[in-house]
Amino acid sequence: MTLSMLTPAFTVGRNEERCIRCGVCVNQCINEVHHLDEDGFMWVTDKNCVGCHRCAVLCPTQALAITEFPLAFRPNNYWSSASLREIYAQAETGGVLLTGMGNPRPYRSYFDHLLLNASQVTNPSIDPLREPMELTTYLGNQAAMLGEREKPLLKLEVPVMFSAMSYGAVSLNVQKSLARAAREMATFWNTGEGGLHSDLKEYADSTIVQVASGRFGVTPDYLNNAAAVEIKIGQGAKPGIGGHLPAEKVSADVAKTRMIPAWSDAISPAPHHDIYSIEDLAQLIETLKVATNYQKPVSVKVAAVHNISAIASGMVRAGADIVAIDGFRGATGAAPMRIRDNIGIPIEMAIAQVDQRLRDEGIRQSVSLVAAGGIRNSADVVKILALGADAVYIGTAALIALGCHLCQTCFTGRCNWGIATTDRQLSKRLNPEIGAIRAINLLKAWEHEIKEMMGGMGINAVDSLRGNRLMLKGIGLEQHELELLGVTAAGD
Amino acid sequence: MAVFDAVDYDQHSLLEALKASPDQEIEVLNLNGHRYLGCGWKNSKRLVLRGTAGNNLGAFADGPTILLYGNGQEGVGNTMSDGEIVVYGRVGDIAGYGMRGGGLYIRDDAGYRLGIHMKAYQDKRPVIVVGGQAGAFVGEYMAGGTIIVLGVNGSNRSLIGPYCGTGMYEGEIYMRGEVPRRHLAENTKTEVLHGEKDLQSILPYLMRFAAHFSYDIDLILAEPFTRLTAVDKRIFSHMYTGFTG
Repeated sequence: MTLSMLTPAFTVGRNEERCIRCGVCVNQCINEVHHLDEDGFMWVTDKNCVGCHRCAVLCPTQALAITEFPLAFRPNNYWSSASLREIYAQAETGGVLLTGMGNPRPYRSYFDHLLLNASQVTNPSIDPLREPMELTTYLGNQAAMLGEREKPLLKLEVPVMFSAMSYGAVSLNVQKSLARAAREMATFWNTGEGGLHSDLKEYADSTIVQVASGRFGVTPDYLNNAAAVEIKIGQGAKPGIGGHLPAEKVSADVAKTRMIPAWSDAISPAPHHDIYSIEDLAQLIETLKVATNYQKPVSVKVAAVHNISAIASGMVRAGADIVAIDGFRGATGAAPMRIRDNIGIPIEMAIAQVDQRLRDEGIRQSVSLVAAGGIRNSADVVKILALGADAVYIGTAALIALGCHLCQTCFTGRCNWGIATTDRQLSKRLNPEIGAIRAINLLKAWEHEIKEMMGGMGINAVDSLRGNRLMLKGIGLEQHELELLGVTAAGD
Repeated sequence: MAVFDAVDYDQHSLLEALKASPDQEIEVLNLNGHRYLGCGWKNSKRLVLRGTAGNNLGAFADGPTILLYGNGQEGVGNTMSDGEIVVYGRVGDIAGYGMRGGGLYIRDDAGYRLGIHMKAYQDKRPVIVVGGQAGAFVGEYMAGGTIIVLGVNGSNRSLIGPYCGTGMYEGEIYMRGEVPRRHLAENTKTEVLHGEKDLQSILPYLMRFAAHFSYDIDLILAEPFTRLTAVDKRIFSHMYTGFTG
């Protein structure tokens, strides 16, 4: 074996005065960082640590501290330690670097360069505690002409839905938690492309089912056991490439749900091979509408890419009732690092541009826009609605609510938090009843914050916030960026 | 049996009329490119079609028997779960895309991308039998099931187009006769099979094809078959390096 030049990413420090040798850390770490030998000595293998904090959070005496491995490269503003380590890894294996979750690079976040308005004197602000505040949102084609067939709509009591995360990429307990929370909060969760597990059929009215190129588990029952159907074209974390669930995560139960053999790869390449054009997309949309008796809105999800406004216009003309756009901060269970970190555009720009384009073309009423990819908090929600979205999808934020610590190693299937795993034992670490409560708490907190921010602006219905860019001011942005976002500068 | 004359219907009204019909057996005459017939049907109805069926015939179907006396266009049997589609003619591209059960029997040729993403699960064993030739990308990303291309209709065209079995990792493709290696994907291997004994596992499919289109089974079995399967079932597993640092 040749020498590996990769040094550990983290170091695990143990306060010996506090450690009681209880062995919780040993049992909790699937990566075998901790080891208690028969003489009572605790051993640590730093190189196995992914920085997920499971041991430190569960340690009863707070004896553990996880820090960056203190091995400093000579300071270099161009070659970061990460760029060296990535090259070492590739030189050792010859492989495409695989990673998880969303783009962590320091690109500009437009959310952090937008400020919201509030009423003072001339227009009273509204206190959501004493006055009704309307967040009810309908998604779908609302441009029906007189005499036309009534179009199906999704009704959300809070304009926040849970992003597509397939069973296989995440554990069944994640889906159970989010499905329960969606039903309780009168919003929707999304199956992702991995089929619908039989335990989740009772949540049909709160479920959006996804159809991706692999068509896993897609049957007439699947399509009809849902409130809406979503065609997945692309994903913000990996625009232009498809999905690949490695065989290690395809357990018997995952296989049953996807209707494929167990322990075999589940591959869904980038194009749907029955969609090579907008005309083909129109046909799959219509096929799904026929198969579901025109009872369900059809959503089409794409990644935010350079030419997104023209693409979105085509999707609307192809009959999409909902266009979901996933920005470049969108997360994934597994993606090549170079793709995750270098492809796509920010969701703020994409929504601003698409909303404007659809208005200019007079087709904005025929579709609802759902923004996804990097929505971190309720202020991000309010800002993206003001930029033109009807609702948002949250994925990363929802997983963090369930315990995710963003260690970005979802692709290993060894998630100590029971989230990005299909291992039976690990999955049990996430109790779906507690998970549901945590997800509900998050949505309730955001709902209240959204109402407070809206009230401050003197707005009492989310309909008056949507696309209301007068409520936004840019700070620290160039003139052209302001124009693209359709906002003016703070102070202007 | 209900009979509809497609001349009297546009695309949408024909689908509505078929849906409203309580009959177990339905016949449609003079089809002229009407799309989405039998789409999403989960029943055991028998649909007899005369004329040219439009795109996505029997897409997402789960159980019906569809007999098409004429040609089919793109997407015949797209993501079909169960049932049988028999085409007394030829079909266009992406027939049997993502098919996971049932049978698709085509008397003449099939277009490009036949049986892409076909997959099998437990008792769900999809099968496609093509009497004539098939275009490029047969069985691309194939993950289970059986595709059989016979070339028994006397055409001089090549039995299959290039890139056959690209990205395939499960399932079997049978081609009657010799196939040039340049048309087959890298990650595949072939073996030559002769007669009834070697072809035991697909004999029921061949018999069914012969019965549907009045072929002599001995004539079909007279030529050797080439059986194509994937060499490495985990084609992408060596490509990646998990980066945990």
